[in-house]
Amino acid sequence: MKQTKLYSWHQQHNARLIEFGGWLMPVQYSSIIEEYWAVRKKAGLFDICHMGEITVTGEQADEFLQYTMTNDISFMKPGDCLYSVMCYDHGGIVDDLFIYKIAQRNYLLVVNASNTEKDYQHLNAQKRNYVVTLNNISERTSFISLQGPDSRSVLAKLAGPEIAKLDYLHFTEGQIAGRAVTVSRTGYTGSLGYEIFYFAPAGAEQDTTAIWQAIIDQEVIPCGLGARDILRLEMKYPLYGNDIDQNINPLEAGLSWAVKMEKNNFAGKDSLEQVKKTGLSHRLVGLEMKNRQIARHGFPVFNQGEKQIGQITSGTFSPALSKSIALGYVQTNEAVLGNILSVEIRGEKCPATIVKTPFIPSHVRD
Amino acid sequence: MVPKELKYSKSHEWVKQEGNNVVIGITDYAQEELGDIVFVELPKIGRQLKQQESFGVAESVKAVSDLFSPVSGKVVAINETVGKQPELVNKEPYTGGWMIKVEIAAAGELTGLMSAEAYEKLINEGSK
Repeated sequence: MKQTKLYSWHQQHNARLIEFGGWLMPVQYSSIIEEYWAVRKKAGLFDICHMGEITVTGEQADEFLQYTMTNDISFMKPGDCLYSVMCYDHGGIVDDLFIYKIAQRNYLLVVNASNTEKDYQHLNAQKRNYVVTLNNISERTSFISLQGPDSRSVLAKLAGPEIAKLDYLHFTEGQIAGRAVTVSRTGYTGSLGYEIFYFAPAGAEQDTTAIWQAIIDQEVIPCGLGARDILRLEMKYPLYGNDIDQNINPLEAGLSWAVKMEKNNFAGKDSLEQVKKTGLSHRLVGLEMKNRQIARHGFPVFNQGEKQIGQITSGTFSPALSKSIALGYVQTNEAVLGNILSVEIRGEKCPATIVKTPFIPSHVRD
Repeated sequence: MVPKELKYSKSHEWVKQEGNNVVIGITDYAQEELGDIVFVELPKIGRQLKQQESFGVAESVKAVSDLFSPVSGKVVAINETVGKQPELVNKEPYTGGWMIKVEIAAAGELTGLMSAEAYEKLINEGSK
């Protein structure tokens, strides 16, 4: 199992470690719910070094991405970040990812940890005649995420007030703890937040730890994947492998805003057009549970006629709402706001209402 | 934290004798392993439990864990407060976070439970 450059730090700080996407990652340091509240009310710091980074450069980098991605990159300027989906020809999702435009014909893709190798191979297979160079630079890239309402003031102290003025979905270069870093106004929590890259020479553990420690020293709470999962679920941000995968298309996953059907041509376009024509058979919805039991991945969903009409893909307890919440796919005719369904939890049918998502307001643009 | 005056089960419940009744909860070690508890399901008063029978569940963000009765007997009281504030089990596992009171059916079962020393040994071995 792989370890991030912060592994020793985590061990020294009593992190509970679990396997995630082939990596040994902290799931919590103190309490998942306390770490959750640190992000919602103050500031928390996540080790996300496990995420994959792939560079795309070359004369036809734009054309290549315009073909392999569902979103439209033609509007991107250097310093912009864009969320996109990458589809197979059959319309299923290869991965969801962020595209960073570094310069003309020079991009960085940030992909899910468990998909890094698969994505790299998929992109290479799509290269065909495109004049483009791909590089998987995940091994030497450190990546940490500073999230929460205090993240701006923390960043201003460490990297200067200019960097802290970044708009949402933009990135720039700066320095933290004497190291050159790239900072983007992005995240996976729904709170104001920043993500910090350090492109390290081989074996630069101490540099990553120095950046991490400098941030922690500003009264920032280290947070694990447990808190991260609650934070992203409250926003209905999908998690690959749970809510989306190769058998799910981005339209049923509620990601049509990141699919630009008017683009000339892109991988999966024909299949998605067909899906649009025939209509979606099911959709991803947000459910609020009446009771506190957690509806977990794979639990069946029933309509009022006791017929199974769907399945849960992710569930958790929302500390902000003090309620259990879940995401799941249900038949389109049942996917109506306010519809009361039930989820079978340990043999018991538990009432669940389809609610508006995100479950709580987003603060990413604060 | 393993109070000396209590008895313990291998499945990490504690038992406190009060005359013919016992109070049952989960240990500090168990709550720590589960993490933030968000839901506790307890039996109805009057239910007859057999030793090692599941009497409910404690659910945390990470996992669900069955609760097992260390003794046989009738449920005579449940802690309704932990139903509304499950976090009490994390904060006060041996006091405010108690779960059920059982009228003992077979007093001999109590002698089969672990002492604090034996339980401490069990969890220390488990965490190595």
